[in-house]
Amino acid sequence: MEDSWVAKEEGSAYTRGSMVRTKLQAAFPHLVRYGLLLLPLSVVLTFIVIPLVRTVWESFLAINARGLATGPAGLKNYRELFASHLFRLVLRNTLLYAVLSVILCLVIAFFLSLLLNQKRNFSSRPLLIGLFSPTVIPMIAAASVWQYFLAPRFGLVDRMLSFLGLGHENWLGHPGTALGVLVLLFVWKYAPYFTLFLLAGLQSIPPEVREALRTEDPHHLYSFRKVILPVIAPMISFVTVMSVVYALETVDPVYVLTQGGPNNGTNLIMYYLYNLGFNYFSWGMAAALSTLLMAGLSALSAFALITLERRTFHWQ
Amino acid sequence: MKRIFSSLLAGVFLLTALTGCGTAATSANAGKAAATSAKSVQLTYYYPVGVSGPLATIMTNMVNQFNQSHPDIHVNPVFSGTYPQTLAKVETSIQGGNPPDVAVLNHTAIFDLLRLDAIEPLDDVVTEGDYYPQFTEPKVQDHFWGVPFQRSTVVLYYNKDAFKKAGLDPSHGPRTWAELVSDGQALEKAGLTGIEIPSDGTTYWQFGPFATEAGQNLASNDGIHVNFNSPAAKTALNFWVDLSHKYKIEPTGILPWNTLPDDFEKGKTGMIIHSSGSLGTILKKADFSVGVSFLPKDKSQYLTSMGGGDIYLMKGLPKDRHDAALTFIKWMTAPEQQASWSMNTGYIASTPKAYDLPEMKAYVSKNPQALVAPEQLRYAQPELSTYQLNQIYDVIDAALQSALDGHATADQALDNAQASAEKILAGVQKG
Repeated sequence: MEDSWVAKEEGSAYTRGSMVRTKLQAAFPHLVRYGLLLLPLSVVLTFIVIPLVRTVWESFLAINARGLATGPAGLKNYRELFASHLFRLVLRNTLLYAVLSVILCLVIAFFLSLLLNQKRNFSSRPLLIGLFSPTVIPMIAAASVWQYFLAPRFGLVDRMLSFLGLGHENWLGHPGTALGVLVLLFVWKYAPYFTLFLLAGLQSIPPEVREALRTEDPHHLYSFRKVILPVIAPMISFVTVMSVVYALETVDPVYVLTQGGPNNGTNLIMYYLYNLGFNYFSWGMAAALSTLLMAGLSALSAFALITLERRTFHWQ
Repeated sequence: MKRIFSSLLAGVFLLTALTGCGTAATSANAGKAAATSAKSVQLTYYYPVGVSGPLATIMTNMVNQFNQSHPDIHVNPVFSGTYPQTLAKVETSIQGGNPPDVAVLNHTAIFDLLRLDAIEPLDDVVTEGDYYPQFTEPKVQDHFWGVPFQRSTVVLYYNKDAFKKAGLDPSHGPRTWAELVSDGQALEKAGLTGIEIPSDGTTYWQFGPFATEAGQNLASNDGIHVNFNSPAAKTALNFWVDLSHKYKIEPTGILPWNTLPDDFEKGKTGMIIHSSGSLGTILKKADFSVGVSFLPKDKSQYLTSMGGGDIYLMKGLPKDRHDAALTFIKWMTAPEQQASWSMNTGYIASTPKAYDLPEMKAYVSKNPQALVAPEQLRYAQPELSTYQLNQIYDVIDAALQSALDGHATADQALDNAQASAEKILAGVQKG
């Protein structure tokens, strides 16, 4: 069927009309391809590019409570943002949270990946399920479960503590412990996820190299520093950047567990951004903060791409 | 050739998918239209739940009842979170050009709603409606804007059985701040927690009456002045701090609004301070005799804060929806509905007429606690209400929390809060 159709088309290729048709025919796959792209492109344009450009533009406008621009504002939105006491507190919280979460996450992920890579019996099914189930639970659900566990006196955590003879503690009731809870939640959720990346890095070492390392360096004195670390270095840098980005983007557990409290102790930058717009009607400042965040996070991602590209280890 | 063929194939798939979606959507719409009468006016109604208990279910039942008795109107109730979340949602929907028709929002949100140019005055409904004047007065910008729907006061709940066990008189709760302390200490000796006052979320609301009792309200009525660092507020906050740090009758740290009634219902805590709107749930869940009393007085008199939500009509509706919304608002705030809402939740019925209805009388004679809040209205003070409401609330709540959790002295915290609030409100005055 198909072959006979092709033959007929080729047979009449010399007339003018059929030349146009041939051109069209040649263009057809491209048309289809771009046509197919049109849908995702329009989605990206509508939901990402246009809001992005508008946000940057609006960060230099004065905007009233209804969200309508009333005139140019120059850098006023940015100045007000940095003059705000709360903003500086939020920056401090976010920095503390991100540093703690990222370091804990990386250290744990690193050791987990070594463990899972070395000994077969460690990668038993229940252990893997236990480790990776947090990764697949949506953050909102995870935070709700944690809230239930952490309820003073009735929660699982307090019951276990009282079983051990320790007093009860209002974990979400103090700025310090509440931020600690958020850090632990992040680590619990993301450390196993990042373990996967590091594990993939470790397993990309070819078997013959591993064999060689085993015979040449049975105590892993040099192989770790000279071979394994360089091999997974790009993965480590990738995971670091991703965890920093995830940490800076944290908002759902804050919303569920603490609403930024107590005393703004867990008010992280994304939650503050939400508040600025939707609760404080300060749309100009919100746009300014969004612009800054966008610039910062894009720079970070670019940095990640560059290091990843440059330091990739090639076996050949 | 093969590539053309596969492109074609992909195109066909895409087309099928698109038309598939199209058909599915149309048939879904058709189903929805068929379910409701073709001519009925569709209304969207946002409401928050601000107290503990299954209020969303009760609300849905009530709206269903309205829809059944009004075949030409169909109200779609939308549960929209807490009060601040509902305000945020309404505000976003206004910007998106798709606001709800009717919404229950904080009574105190009025200044921000006016600034958003979001609501329509409801003078006729309010003047004809016989509502408690404490709920509707004073007028703002010469109009009544919201119709009182789910209004409440701050009350003190106490466990009568525990009071007996602790050797206290169960016929009344603590009447003064000093009695609050001594009752709390007696309860602690009997093995309970003395008192719990919620301190996450909108802490200012429970705190307001203590400040007012000590001498001055947290705000003036113009929406642009606050008195966060008045001597009265400082006295009150120091008393709160002392409850856990000096008298040791309250757990330290921030106590959550939502779960605190559980502590009381399970008999772990002898007294709690909470919304009268939680009464219905507490009575259902507690297996001991529950006492409800006024907030204890500092020196001279009992005072409390009013709170809760009004029902608002959104601005700029087409005539048919506007009229339908008015019908709905009147129905929701009529004595019969207010009586049933009050019996189910514990909110004060917004009109005294509701308390004359036979079913309400029967309920009240069985649960005399339900009368405490309406009686307390005599002592009710306006709730903190300003422009930039959510921001001002965050400022005062954070200050109260920092003092309660020991990060600042009460005086420092309140002085800072006053300074921040003045800065925010100065911005409003400028426009």
